[in-house]
Formats: sequence, structure tokens, C-alpha cells
Amino acid sequence: MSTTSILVVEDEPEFLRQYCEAITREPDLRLAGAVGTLAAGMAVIDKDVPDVLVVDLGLPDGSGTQLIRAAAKKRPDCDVLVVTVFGDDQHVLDAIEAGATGYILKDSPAGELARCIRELRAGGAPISPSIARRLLARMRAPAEKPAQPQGASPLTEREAEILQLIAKGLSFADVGGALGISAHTVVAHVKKIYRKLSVHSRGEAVFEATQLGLLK
Amino acid sequence: MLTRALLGWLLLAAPLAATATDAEQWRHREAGYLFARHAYTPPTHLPWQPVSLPDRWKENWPGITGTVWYRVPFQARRVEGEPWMVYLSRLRDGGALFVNGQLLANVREPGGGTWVRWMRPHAFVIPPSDLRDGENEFHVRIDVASADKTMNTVWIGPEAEVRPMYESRFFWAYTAAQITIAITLSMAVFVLTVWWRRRMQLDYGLFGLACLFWGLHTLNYVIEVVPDAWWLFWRVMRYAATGGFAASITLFYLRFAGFRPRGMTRLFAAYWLSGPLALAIGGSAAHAFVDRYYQAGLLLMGVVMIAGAVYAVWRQRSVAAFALLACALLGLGGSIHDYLLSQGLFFDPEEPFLLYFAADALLLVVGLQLADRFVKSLGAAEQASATLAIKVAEKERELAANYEKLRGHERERAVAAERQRIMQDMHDGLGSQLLTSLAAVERGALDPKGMAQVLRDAMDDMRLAIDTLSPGREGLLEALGNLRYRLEPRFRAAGIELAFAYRDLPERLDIEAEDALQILRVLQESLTNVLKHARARAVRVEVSLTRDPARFVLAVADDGGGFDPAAPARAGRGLSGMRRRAERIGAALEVASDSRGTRITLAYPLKNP
Repeated sequence: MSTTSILVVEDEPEFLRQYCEAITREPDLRLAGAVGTLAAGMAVIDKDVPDVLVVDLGLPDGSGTQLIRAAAKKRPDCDVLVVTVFGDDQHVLDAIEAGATGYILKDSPAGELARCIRELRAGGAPISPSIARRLLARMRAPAEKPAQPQGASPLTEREAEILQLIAKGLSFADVGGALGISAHTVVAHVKKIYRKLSVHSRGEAVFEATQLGLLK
Repeated sequence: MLTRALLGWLLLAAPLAATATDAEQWRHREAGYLFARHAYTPPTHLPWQPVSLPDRWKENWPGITGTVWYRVPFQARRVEGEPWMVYLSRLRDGGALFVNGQLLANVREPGGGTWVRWMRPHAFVIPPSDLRDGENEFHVRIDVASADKTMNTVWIGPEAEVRPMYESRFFWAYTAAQITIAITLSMAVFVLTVWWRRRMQLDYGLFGLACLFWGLHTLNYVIEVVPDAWWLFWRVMRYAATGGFAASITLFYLRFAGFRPRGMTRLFAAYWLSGPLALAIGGSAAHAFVDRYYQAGLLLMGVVMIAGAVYAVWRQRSVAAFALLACALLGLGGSIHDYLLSQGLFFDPEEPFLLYFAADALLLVVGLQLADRFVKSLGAAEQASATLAIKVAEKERELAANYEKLRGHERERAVAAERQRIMQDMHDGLGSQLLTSLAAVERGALDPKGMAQVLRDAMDDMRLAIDTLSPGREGLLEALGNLRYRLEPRFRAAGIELAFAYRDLPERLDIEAEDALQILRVLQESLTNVLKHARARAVRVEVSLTRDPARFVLAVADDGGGFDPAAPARAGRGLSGMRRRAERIGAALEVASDSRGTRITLAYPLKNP
């Protein structure tokens, strides 16, 4: 049985210890590293990018998004789980743009981290109603600007529908029931949307860079 | 402005008065006359009677009609290349002109179905072959149909001497009239159109009418030949024009002076129409009468005009008033002069008519005065609108300032209310929670597990507050979803199935953040109670809307062991807290519990369904 290699980057020792314990408890998960700073994290992924990155955004020597971007660039299929406290939807959105595919509340029950990692590896992604709403707004707004290279909204109709239902407070199972698909398909869609946002934001960056004359 | 214009006018008119004295040597005042029906020059031996020109028939030969010959002998000196010229300042009824028996010209005479009255001067170059060195004779033959004729003096001399006199006279007697017609009629069209379209003061209309009438009147000076069939119409129009001019300009003066009695306009209009009507009805028989008495009445109008001008000067002492008085005097003087001239009284019949110069001056001054008034009123209107604009801008600024102030107050009020709400929330929720927990910890009554629960509860409370109170949130449904999303892992970990059911919910629910927070608190409290105490396998949250009354209904039902709602120890802080919150937002809370489970229902009345 292949194991999933995981790098944990968390500056608070208590949480770091908790996460490490949660991972080592599971036979199918393998802790590839546990560090407390951005620099250390960068050093680890410089050698080898693990299957999953569990990263706190507020690190003492910089933002976790940098690490996410570097990992996503080096290994696009790498799953990134962002550890978040409450009320920071914006940070979560930034992380997703950088390449994160999931986020987990810092105070989640002990088994939740492993469950999340497995869900991610299985092709799913978690999403809360407020994140769904923000994603919708974020990915639809550029469509109103005619100068966009993509032109239309990068979301498919089905994806937009899913986000709308989630934003209204429906669970994955409810959404699946409403659309006649399985909950598993719904979370797969969400992950695709996450990937799109990060690609989309990269495209936007390229577009803006071209506009500025930074790229030829 | 007015005085300068007036001065310019007088300077322009000055050449009229300047008659070179040495030109007089070419003027012939002595002549012989002879009643004879000869077609050609009657011989010298016939009984020519001496007469001095101008010869006014009405005085000298009353009642005589027929053909009359005038003979004017003159001395000439033939010089090669220096032709001579005959010039007659006014040959009103035309006639045949001869030099030394040779026909020089035939100026059209009335008769043959045509009415003729020459206002222009006449001049003809004498063919050199007809001119003798020394003694020469000039003859005029006039057919006299009416007694109202005058034979004027004759100028005969070298063309170089005589032509300028003729040209000058032609200009003033004829061309100037044409110019006057062109200017006054176009002015009339312009002023009357503007007056009609803009419904301005009557004064402007009167000025336009005066221009119109004066233009028509002056046509009289340039249209000299009229078919007999048109004659009556022509004369009616002439009197209507003259009378109309006098009436409108006098009315203007009276109004300028401040007289505006009712009926004044009608009185003037009535008099104005009387003459032309009398002529139209009475025909040529009434002509002499109208010509004399109607026109005399118009002169009286002129006197009224002067009176008005004097009154205006006395009252206003303005430049405009003085200028108008001067023009009125000029106009009246001209009118009297012309009237007497046309009646063959008092003045040298060769004098040019003066009124139309005076009238031109009058119209000019009146026009300038009106233009001045118009510009002033325009300026006043502009100033008024500018003042208005300034006032509007001022009011706008005031309004904006007021609005800004109001908004400031509104903001302050909102901030204060928000602060109050958060304070209240902290006091009731987090504050008391932490306080009781602190007391428990200090007394050693809280184990780490209990402690973790307390902190978790506190954090949940805070999350809920952030979810509902932070800006940019979509409202209750989203917060509900977030709560569910957050709690799901805990229920999963506890092995309890958490199901949500929404019924008849709209896209948006307009519930104020404060009330939404309380509703969510009740839900969170119920759900954590289930987690902590209920020993349930499943919990179901039902969210729905009811109509009549419009309420938002939230029900939490579990299949746990239940409890006795009446027992205070068991209900604890949770239930009483829920009741307090429900009460605060005017919602009804029902708790039903038995051994098969517990159902808590919160019914919140919607304020604007």
C-alpha cells in the first residue's frame, strides 16, 4: 500500500505536535517533515515536494502562500491543505489562488486532519458557504472585463451552480441530491474549481505582467 | 450712444443744406409762358408773358387747364468737348423739353390710363449740335389736366457744373428713399417677427410697425408711375402707411413717457384707419379732403408726440428722453414742412421733402433706445439667472453639507449601535461564559476536558459573531451554512448524523444581523447540547418560512434521551440563555422533550416579509 507523504509547516509547537501525532497515528500517512518556518519549509520542498503540504499561512518569517506557490509550481499535483483560524476567508482565497486545494479549521477534532488529507488525495476538496460565495464573485468578476484573455467566465455552468448551492448553505450531499450527482462528484468539482482559480490567477498574473511589459 | 448716433446723422445730412452759391449762375428764374396747343416750339413772336419761376398755378392761374409752354432763354458758350446739360429739380407731372426747337426729352406725363408723379429730378445732356454759341432757348411743354401744378426753376449749364447738383439731388430724393425702404422693411420684418414670437412688450411691436409703415410710406417716393386702376389703392395704402407710422410712433412716445391709459391704443388705431377708409369709400372725390385734413390730424398727433417727449424729458432727464424729444421735434418740423410743401403753401416748392430724413433719424433713435433696453433686460435676465445659478449652487452645497452631516450622524449612530450590540453580546455570552469558567477553574472544579469544552464554546460563540457581524456577509442562510460546515466534523467525530432540511426558503432572507446572531446562537446552543448531553444518533435541523403570520421557523430535533424542561438543574445555562435570546428578538421558543428525543422550535416573526 502506497503511503502519502506529508510536510507540516506550523509555527505553533502545540499544533505542530498535534498534527504530527495525528499523521503518524495513521498507517497510510507518512510524515515527510515538520517545520516551523517558511525558510525551513522552502528548504524541504527544494529537495522534494511531498504529496501533501499542510501549511499555516501566518508564519514568523513570511506568508505560507509563498510556500504553496513554490510547491504548486514544482509539483502541480501536490495537494495543499491550509490551516486556518476563523474569519480569514480572504486568506483562504489567497491560498487557493496560490494553489491550495483545501483548508481545515485549526480547532477541528483530532481525526479530521487525516480525513481531510484522504479526501484531498481522493480528488475532493472542502468548501464552506462563505468561501463558495467569494469564489463565485471572484471568478465571475473578470468576465465583465472585456480585456480578459479568457473572455467568458472560467467556470462552467455546472460549477457555478454547485458554488451557488454551497453558498446558500447546502451540504455536499444536499447539492448532489439537488443536481442528481453524488456527493463525491460535488467535491471533485470543487477541487477542479480550486485548481481553476489558481490557474486563472496565474493567467491573470501573466496577462498583467504582459501589460506592464515585464514579459515578452 | 444715442447722442453720438444723432450727431453722425446730422453730419451726414449736412451736405443737403450746402448749396454752392456759384451754382446759382446756372439757375433760371425768369421765363415766358404761353397757352398754346402747338406740338412744337411756338415761335418767339407770339405773346409770351413774363413769369418768374417757380410758377405756382394754383395761385397764378386758378382753374385753368390745357397746354402751357414755358420759354427760358439762356446764354451759352460752345466749347468743344464740354457738353451742356439741362437739370430740373422736380418736374412733377412730366412734359416735353426742347432746346432751340429740337426735342431734348419727353418726360412721361399723366394720362393714357396712367397716373404719374415724378419725385426724382431730371437732367439731360444737350446734344452739341443743338447748342448755339451765344443766345439759346429752352422750352417746356406741359399738358395740364389739373390746376395743382408748379413749374420750377431750370438749371442750364456745362455738364461738369450741373451734373453734380443733379446727382446729389437724385441721391437724396430717390436713392436715399430706396435705402430707407430696404432698411425699414427688413428691420420691420425682423423686429415684428421677434416681437410676435417672444411676445415682448408692445413698445417693440410699435417700433416694428412704425418701421413697416414708414417703409411702405417711403415707397411713395420711388414708385412714380401707377396705372389708373391701381391709383385709389395706391393712395389708400399711402395714407394708411403715413397714418400708421404717425400713430404707432406717437403711441410709442406716450408709452415711453409713461402714459398708458386704457383705450389709448384703440383711439389711435381708429384715427389711423379713418383716413384710408374715407378714401377707399369716397374714392378720388374724397382725395383732396383726406389729403388736407387727415394729414393735418396726423400733424396733431405729432404735437401729442412732442408733448409726450417733453413730459418724458421732464420726468426722466435721460439721454434717451432728450434724443427722443430732439427727433420728435425734427420729425414734426419735417412733417409740417412737407405738409405745407405738398399743399403748395409757404415753402419754395423746389425744396426736397424732409420728413423721411427726420423719420429715419427718429426710427434710428427709437431703435437704439429699444436695443439699449433690450440689451439691458437681457443683461438683467442673465444676471438674474447667474444669481439664480449661484443661489442654486449655494443651496446645493448646503444640502450636500447637511447630507454629509446627516450621514455622519447616521454613521455615528450606527457605530454606536453596533458597539452597543457587541458589548451586550460579549456581556451576555463570552463574558459571562469566561467569568463562570474562571470561577470554576479557580476553585479547582474544572478538569482539562471541561476546560477544553469551555474554550471551545467560547470560540464557537466568537465564530458566530464574526459570521454574522462582519461586513460583506450575505446574511442568515450563509451564516447557517457556515455554522453547519463548522459543526459537521464534530458531529461526524461523535458519530451523530447531522441533517439539514430547508423548506420554502427564498434566495435571500432579510433578517438584521443582530437578530440573525441570536437565531444562530439558539441553533448552536441546541446543537452543542445535543453533542454534549443528548446521546443521540441523529439530529435534524429544519429551516422554513411560514406565511400568516410571516415567520422564520427553526426546529432542532434529536432522537436522544430527552430531559425535563422544567428541571432547572438539567436545563442549565443553555435553555435559559436560549429563552432570553428568543425573548430579545421577539421570537417564540418551544421546547418539547421526552424519552424519544427533544425538539426545540424557534419562531421568529419577520419584520418585512
